[in-house]
Amino acid sequence: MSLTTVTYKGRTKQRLDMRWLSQAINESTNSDTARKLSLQIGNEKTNVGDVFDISGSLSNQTAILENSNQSMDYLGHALTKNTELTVKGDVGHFAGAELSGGKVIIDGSTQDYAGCGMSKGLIEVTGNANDYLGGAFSGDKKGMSGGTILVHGNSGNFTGDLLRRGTIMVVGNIGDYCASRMIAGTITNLGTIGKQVGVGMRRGTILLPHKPKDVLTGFHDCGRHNLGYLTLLLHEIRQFKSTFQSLHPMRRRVQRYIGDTTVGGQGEMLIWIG
Amino acid sequence: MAIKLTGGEIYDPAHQVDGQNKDLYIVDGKLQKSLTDNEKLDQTYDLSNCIVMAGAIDLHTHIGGGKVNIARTMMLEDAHSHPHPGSDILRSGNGRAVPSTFSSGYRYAEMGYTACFEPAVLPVNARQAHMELADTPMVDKGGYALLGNDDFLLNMIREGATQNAINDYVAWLLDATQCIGIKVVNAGGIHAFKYNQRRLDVDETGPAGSNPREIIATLSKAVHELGIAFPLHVHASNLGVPGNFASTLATMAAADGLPIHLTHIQFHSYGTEGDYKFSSAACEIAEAINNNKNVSADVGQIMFGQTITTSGDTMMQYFGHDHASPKKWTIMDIECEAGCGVIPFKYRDKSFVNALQWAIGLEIFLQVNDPWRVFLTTDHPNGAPFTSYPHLIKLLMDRSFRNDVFKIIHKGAQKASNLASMDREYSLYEIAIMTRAAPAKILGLSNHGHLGEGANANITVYRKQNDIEQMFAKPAYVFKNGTLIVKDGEIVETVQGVTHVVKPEFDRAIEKRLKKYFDDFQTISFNNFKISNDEMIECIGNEIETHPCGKI
Repeated sequence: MSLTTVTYKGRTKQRLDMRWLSQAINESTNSDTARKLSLQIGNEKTNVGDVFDISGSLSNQTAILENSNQSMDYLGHALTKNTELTVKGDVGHFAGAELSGGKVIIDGSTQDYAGCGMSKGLIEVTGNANDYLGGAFSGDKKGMSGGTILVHGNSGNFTGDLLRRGTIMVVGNIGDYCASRMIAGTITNLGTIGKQVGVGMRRGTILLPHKPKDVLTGFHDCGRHNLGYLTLLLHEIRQFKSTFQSLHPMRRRVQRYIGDTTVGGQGEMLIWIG
Repeated sequence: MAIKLTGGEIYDPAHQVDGQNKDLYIVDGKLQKSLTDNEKLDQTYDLSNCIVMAGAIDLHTHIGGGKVNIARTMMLEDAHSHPHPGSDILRSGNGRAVPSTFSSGYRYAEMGYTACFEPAVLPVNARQAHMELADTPMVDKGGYALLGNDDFLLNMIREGATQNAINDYVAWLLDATQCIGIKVVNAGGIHAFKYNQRRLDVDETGPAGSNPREIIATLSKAVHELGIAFPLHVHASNLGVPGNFASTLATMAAADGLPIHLTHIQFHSYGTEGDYKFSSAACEIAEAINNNKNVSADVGQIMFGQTITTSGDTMMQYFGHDHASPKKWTIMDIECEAGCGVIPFKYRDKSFVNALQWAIGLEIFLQVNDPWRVFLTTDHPNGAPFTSYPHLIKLLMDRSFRNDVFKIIHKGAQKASNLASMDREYSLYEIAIMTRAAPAKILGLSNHGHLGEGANANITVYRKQNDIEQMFAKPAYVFKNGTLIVKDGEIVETVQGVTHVVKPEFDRAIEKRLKKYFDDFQTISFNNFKISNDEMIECIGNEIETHPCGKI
């Protein structure tokens, strides 16, 4: 199986809507057809072939994008089952948005709204992710509703905003308002976390190595627990190749806080003990 | 520019033309019987196997104004999932339940509509509404100014002001807001809601010291005496409440024989019988419309699927806010003039209530005998987006299709409705009446809705097809004032419509009293409130067409 490489050769500073690539991968489009797809850049209309080199066929539903930049939005948007996109470089907003079964590997950093509204699949980011990781499109009542996001660097503010289901794993630090308005799902990290953790949270789990500096008034300490299900969760987390594999597979002692009770929420914030 | 349309089957109810073949001539945007000697034909369209009607008119569709904008902002998922990319001639837009301004105009034109009327222009928001309508291309527009809950009118009624003084106020308001008619939404009810009242019946005295019956009687008299063609447009009390048909009948009676138009009457035709204490009262309502020649109505048919309800009726919107889907809603007061309630809603065919609502709407359509007094609307976007009109027309014209759909709705609703036993099928002539001739007649638009000599050349040509829905969804040609704007359901040229207004005469003495009221209570100064003709044309960008007032 030959690898299909898509290389960006343009220089525009305008934003690029990359949904054409996902569409081509999902539909196993041959490269000639893909080159003829129309692409709007700023106020100009052009063809994909004018700004991208495509080598090999997209028919095997796997592609590598080279020379990407922060202007490229919607990379890996709505990729379906058995598809895979590897991006060499930084990407723009909405990377992996509405992903429904595919695999998006980003060898760089993402802008805002990575994995927004995704329902299935995996997004792996080797660099940092910005705000609203796994969040919702503005106006939507639900964010990410399934799948896994693994960030090897840090993530920004509002990580997991309106998260409904699925797991967000951040190896580094998480910014402010993590798990804001979270409906359910799991967020975990190994670094530090910012202010207002879990504000407006309803259900779900935030699993942290250290207690945040300011725990919200809506969160109540429920004492120390020895939770058996954490071994199952760790089994899931440790299957991905990342620093999370350094966690002991039988670790399950946590300090448990429940909240955000200001909105009647009963989500849990768990802090590892020992 | 002279154009000949030849070979088409013409449906022009205003001139009793029912499917005859006739040639039409368009000269400089107007229709003519034939060409004069010095006029040379520039273009001929062969319309064999085509149906020709005047451009359609929607007399009740929420496409502009504050609450539509709130709905657009609230339903970002609707915008996000229905993008409409721009092209060389079209501006981009989005949305299905609440399309953006440009998209609204385009979608209407693509269905062969050439005029649309925004039924709830809050006087204080009129400028904003007209600005949005100015951004709605392709179609002619117009608005109905909202009255019946504003402090000034309620004070006048309480203080026993003379009918003449009220007439002056109504006329002044139409002039100041550049509207074509007056609408009442839940007369006195929105005002009562602010005093924590959750229901106001037609004969119940509200906190303003008057009851809905008095308000409707006063306003319908004002509209009649001012000689405004369009009757008082009434959104009756108790919208959506089981058993509300009694209020609707009382509202009809309140007009005391004067012309009255009841809007989205489907939402006002509910009884309380049956296991669910919710039943159809379509029969009673249709009978009342049949018996009272002064009453006309538009139906406000619902269609299954996601939409959003927008209404000035804060009282009844609050009553329904628990059913919001997705769960978000807004209820607000607008400057003590009226209110605004926006609630997303998903009508489901497997829900008893929704399925019966669907059946009730169709029952009303099929039981009102006179198509000149019943209008085809979905109360866009409250019952369904206007893009579902072709589907609705098919439901009315094709009994077997209607019964097929009826068979898949909630079983309880099937038992509670006698829709299946109704044989009536609308003819093309009747569809032409209810979507063209009748709205133009009731609105007083003498140059619209017909294909007679001197009419504006707003013409829709449908290519005959077995599937009525397809036929009405994609007209072969649409002409707007003689310009070909749509070909095979695609826009080929964009045009800007005019805004229809009326300017009844009134005694300027009312302005003195109004100025004091504005100085004392309003957030906007009296002079800034008024929209002058110059502002309307030069700043807002709406050409206006003034229609005469007087006894017709």
